[in-house]
Amino acid sequence: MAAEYGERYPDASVIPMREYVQQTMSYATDALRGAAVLSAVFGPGVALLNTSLFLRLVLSRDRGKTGLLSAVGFSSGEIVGQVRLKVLVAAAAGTAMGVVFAGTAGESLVGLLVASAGLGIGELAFIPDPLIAYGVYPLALMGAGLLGALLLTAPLRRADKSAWLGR
Amino acid sequence: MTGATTAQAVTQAPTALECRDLAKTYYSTDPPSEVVSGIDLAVRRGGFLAVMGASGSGKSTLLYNLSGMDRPTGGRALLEGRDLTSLGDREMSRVRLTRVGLVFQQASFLRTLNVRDNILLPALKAASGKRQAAEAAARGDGLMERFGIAHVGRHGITQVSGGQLQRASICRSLACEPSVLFADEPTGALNSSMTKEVMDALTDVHAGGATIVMVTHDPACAARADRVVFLRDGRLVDSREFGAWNEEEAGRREDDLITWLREQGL
Repeated sequence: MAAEYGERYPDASVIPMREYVQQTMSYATDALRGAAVLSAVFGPGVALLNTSLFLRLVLSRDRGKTGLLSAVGFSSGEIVGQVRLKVLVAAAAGTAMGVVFAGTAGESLVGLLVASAGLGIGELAFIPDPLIAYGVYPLALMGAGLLGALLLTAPLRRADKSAWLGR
Repeated sequence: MTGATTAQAVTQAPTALECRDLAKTYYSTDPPSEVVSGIDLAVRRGGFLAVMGASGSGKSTLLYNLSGMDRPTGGRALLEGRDLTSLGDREMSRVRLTRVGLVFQQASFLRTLNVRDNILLPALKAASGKRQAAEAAARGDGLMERFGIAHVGRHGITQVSGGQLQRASICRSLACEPSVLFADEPTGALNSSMTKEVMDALTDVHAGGATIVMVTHDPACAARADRVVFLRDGRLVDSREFGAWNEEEAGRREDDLITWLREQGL
């Protein structure tokens, strides 16, 4: 279409809209793309770190309870399984809330931030890939949380149970 | 059964618990610390063994390695002839559930459950099906009645005394009818009247035919046992036979034990 208009108006410079946006707004769109990629890469890392730190606190707080359950006949497998299930449920709930938040208030909030940053962008619309935004990425976040739980609870299987009793 | 016949029955009874050349070394320390080593010990069914020794002598470590809570790093621990050191995690937890009862210094309970539910927890876990669960509940209620805590069954665990909690611990440890009851300083955190409550309960359990292994610092508590062993630096250095407990001989027995402990350098 741009070529057609170019032929019709030879005195004017006609370029496709996508190219126009690229030429005029590339500093902003590239920055947003870069920020999105970085967020996507660091998101699971942050999820892993957060889960690990909180789980470490929880395991430390629940040492006595873990020791007691072990003493009354719960196997390490059952105790570890229970911890991992709790982490998975928490990670799934957190991810679901995040997805809902991003899908509802996220767009307007980011738009507001970008507009107030004075980049010349008055309105911003997300065009997410549904498979990535609602499938792959939430799964990656949950997977990162679960990985943290796996790493932190693995030593529990080999530990001496009496060490949890606080004697 | 009189004291003499009880003692005779115990000496002739089959071995409930045994360890051979048992050792426990913690490799997480630098250098590794060998907490107990070369322990040979046998407890007959229906026996009451007290383990004594100075702090850090390895008493609790020995108890937890005999009870299946921890794994020895050397030697063998046998419960009713079954080598605990060869068991996997699942089998070991089954042993702790059904064959072993544990009582700790600090009565340890789940705060979200009331006293009765805490007591019934292992019994209900072991039960398969409604009939067994009902039997377990009846057994737990019977134990609470026997040890005088039935009236606090619905109380939260912060609403009962230390002595009642420790008696609840004993009820919980007996809920699955274990072959050996292990008690780690069961009166260590109690005053003298509560100590008597708990020791009377343990003596009652023993009189009912239970095998007990108890770690204690208190000669008055150890005097209730029919045998006392002494640990020093992780090694079993001496033992003393007392025979069956007799309330009338309590004072003489305690004095006798204190003299013996002094000879051990305690």
